[in-house]
Amino acid sequence: MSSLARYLPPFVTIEKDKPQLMAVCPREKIREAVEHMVKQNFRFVTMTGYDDGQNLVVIYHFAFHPGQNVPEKGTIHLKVVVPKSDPKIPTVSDILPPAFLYEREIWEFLGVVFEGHPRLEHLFLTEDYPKHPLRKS
Amino acid sequence: MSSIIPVGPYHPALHEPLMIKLFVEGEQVVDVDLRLGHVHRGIEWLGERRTWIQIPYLAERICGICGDVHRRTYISAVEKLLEIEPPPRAQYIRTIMLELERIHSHLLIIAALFHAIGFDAWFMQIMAIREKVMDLCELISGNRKHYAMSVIGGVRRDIPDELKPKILRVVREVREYTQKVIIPVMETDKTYLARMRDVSKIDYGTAFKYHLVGPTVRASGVYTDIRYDEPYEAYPEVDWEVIVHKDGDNWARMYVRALETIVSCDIIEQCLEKMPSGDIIHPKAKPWLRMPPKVPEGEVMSRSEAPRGEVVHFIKSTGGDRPARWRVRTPTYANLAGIKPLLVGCHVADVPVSYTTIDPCLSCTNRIEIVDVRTGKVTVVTDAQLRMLSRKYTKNLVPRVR
Repeated sequence: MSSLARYLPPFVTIEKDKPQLMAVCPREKIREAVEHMVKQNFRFVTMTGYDDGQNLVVIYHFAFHPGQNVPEKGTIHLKVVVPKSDPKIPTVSDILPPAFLYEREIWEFLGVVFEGHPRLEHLFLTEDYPKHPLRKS
Repeated sequence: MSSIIPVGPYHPALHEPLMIKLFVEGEQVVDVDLRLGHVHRGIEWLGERRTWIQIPYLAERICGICGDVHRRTYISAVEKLLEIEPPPRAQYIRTIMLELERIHSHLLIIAALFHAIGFDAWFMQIMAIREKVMDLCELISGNRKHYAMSVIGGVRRDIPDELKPKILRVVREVREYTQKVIIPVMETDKTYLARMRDVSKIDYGTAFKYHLVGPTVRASGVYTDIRYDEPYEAYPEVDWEVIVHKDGDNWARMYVRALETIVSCDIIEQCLEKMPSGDIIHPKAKPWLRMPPKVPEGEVMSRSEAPRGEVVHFIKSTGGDRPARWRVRTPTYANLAGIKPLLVGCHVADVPVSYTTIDPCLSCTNRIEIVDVRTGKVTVVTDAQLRMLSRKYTKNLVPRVR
């Protein structure tokens, strides 16, 4: 098992550690997990969302940086999987200010609702765009 | 009572359109709001409908200035899934192209900044130097932009030995110009200092909290550079240093870029010297020049340091000849999160300058409507007028400047 796992909160399950460490976090614990990473001074890189056919997946990417004074380099990914019938995840935009734009983008393209987000409005597409374009079927 | 100034979306001087709403009280900016997507092209959606070897051309066209770094980042993500490494010579060639791109991008934004504060002579001189770098890129790849150098498992074109003296000549010229002209101007010119010093300060805490990237965050004292954090290509093999400055104001952001131009020149010189001979493409990768590979299932993220900061490409493969998801995060997207601490508190006349110092790869201000919220009166201000406002401000600072 990868030594990077010690940086993760205890309640996540490691999905794979090659080529990069990917851990799955239950959606109700994601705020706690993100806070855990922020406390250890990880750089928040970005958020990715995709539709894998059955579920919607949101990934939070974190990266090591020299300011942490740890020997490891590279990235750590936290994944949250939600069903299409109930696509809700608590927002992290108050813990991580840059997530404000990324969550808006993921809502716009995939329709994942970030509960508690202050302004879940269109960012890239027009206000009357009829659907979430990256949803499959 | 605050008034709203909508800035944008279209502006010919900065590269791409963006709409910023400035909430102002008198001359002071008190709040900022953003609206993106005026040049939304659906590239990620298109990417899911292209094969692995068609996407690099699409990736390269994400940006008109730093296209090569997008291509490299995408290709390195695919290489990570395929578990192949380009041969050493290819890695050196990629590094040289990335650094040439950084030089011309930094020179462009330094020139654009001098233009914004009204130093047009500098603008033209720096653009003339930049033109030599562009000619060099054309000599190497056949194109001023969109070099199409990296392919899966290597590079497409070699840099022959007879080109080396030409590259060295241009690189030395750029370094000499930066050291003898650009940096002394930045350090000593009183007008420049008056416009740039202590304007739009971002301190260490804010820069880190907003997770800004690239020279913007390094100018605030955060030691991070993807070339150093997660070394790629030939960077671990050459001797170079990360430029960090602690001031965090407009001046520091541009100063870091000027110093980085010199570092890039050093990296190119060392790469040319140390470049090993040998293949430029992995033998296993040769068929993939024409036919898309079957990429194994998996999810991978790849990062590079673009001139503006960290570029991120994320790929999910389901084992076919095309990706199931291709996600790109450009550096300006990350830096826009920091536009609020950047612009709040500065003067309206400082907005074009402060905004230029984050090196935006989106942009603004063709036409500004000033809406007076008290009377509802709308005044349309053109870009030229805003620019005049900026120049008038410089003039007031130093009466001798025309």
